Amino acid sequence: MSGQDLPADTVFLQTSERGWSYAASDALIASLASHLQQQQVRRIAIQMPDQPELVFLLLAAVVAGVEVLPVSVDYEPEQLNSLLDRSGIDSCWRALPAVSEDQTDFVPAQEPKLLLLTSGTSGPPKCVRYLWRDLMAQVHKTESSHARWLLAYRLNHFAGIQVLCHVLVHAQTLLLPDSSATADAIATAVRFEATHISASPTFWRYALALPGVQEIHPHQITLGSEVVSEDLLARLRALYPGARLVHIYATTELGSCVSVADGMAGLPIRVLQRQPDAAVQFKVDDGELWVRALHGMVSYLDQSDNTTLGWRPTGDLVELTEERILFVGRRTEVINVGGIKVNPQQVEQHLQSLPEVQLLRAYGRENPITGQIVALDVVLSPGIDVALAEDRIFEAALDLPRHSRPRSVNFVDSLSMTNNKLERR
Amino acid sequence: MSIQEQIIDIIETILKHQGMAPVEVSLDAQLYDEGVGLDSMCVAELSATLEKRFGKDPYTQGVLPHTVADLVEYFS
Repeated sequence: MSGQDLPADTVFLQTSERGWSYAASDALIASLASHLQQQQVRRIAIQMPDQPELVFLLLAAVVAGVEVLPVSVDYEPEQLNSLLDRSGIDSCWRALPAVSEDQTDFVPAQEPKLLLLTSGTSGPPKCVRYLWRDLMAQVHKTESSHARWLLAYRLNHFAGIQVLCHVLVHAQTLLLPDSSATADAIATAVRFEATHISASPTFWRYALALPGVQEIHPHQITLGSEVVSEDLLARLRALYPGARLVHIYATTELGSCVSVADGMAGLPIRVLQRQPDAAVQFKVDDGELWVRALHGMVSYLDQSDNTTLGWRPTGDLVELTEERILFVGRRTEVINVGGIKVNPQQVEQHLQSLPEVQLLRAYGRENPITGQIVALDVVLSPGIDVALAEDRIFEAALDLPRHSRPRSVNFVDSLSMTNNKLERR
Repeated sequence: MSIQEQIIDIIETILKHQGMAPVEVSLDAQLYDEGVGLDSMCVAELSATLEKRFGKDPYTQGVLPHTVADLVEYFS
């Protein structure tokens, strides 16, 4: 799969139970590809945990020219059936088919494709179609020694596929935790000495409360899929002074657009000056970031239009300073408080750095006086008293404009997440 | 705490949240401008807090209480 000459025993996938070399993986993928072509399937879904079997079947479908959609194991049957119907998918695979090791013949696809669902954190997920070569082309090639990447995203999401592609392009090792729980991911990173970790800010806000984080010595931490705040960058820098801290801006539709390694939140303003021949161009229109991406998706599955070459609104609202493009929220998440627009992420960023707060989410709650108010769900740091935390939160909120101050605070044990990304509502 | 004490406590807490000086809130105090001085954002918070504490609130029902006593009566 990696297309590189490498020692036959280079480990591609590592679980708590065993490692799979590139050579062994290639052989199994060829058998599976051969099987899929015999079945004459055109478009399939895979609903399996993030374990090697999923990776093998997914890559087999890709090389065999079968359009393949990885689907979350959390999908309920009705949800899944409606999705399969809507997307014209032949069948949903939940386990590896029995294949013969001798049968490895298949015709490699000319233009392999992959289907992905948008994260659906702020609406029903949409199905997008990618050319496999565009996904591989998005990988920023580096001359790094052999790296072990922790999988801290799910493989049914763009960010997880991005990590997989990165590993494949560089013939590196992907560490697969036993489950999607943050504690399992950290345990895997400790045990197999992860050198590279690509994860969301929310993942780290949970992980930083776990003792295991002290035992990891990453060379690189890549943050993505949510807005990155200065306070989190500072905490990671303090914990891992030797690590390169990178954050990427990517969307399921556009792919990976830019990677920022200067340790500051937001994007450098110079990306707005990129020329039309650049793989990714940016512009800001009416406070919203627009992107034109050469290697983005081909189309939404239910639409025939080829939008790759055109400009696309990202839904991300930004503010420009002299040096940075700063993310202030999502267009769809804006809270309307008595006619004044409030970005929940600005409220979150302001309050997230309180030591009493481990994680919080701001959202709009209906209110008879102002239409909506800003409400907060808060996960407290371990051992913090609720009354004290409430006082501290309201005190800190006084620095916010009146309409942006939270008017209702709920203390919760955890916040729901999709792919280690806070669910928005 | 009695209903009256709970309501007074809620109002005092809302004023504290807005960094306002503590005021003695009495039963016959006017809730808005000349009285306790709750502005629209404070009333929005009051409505949300009452709903959370008692499972209902007068503002959502279209009732406009003028004094602390009106609120106490509503919840009694």
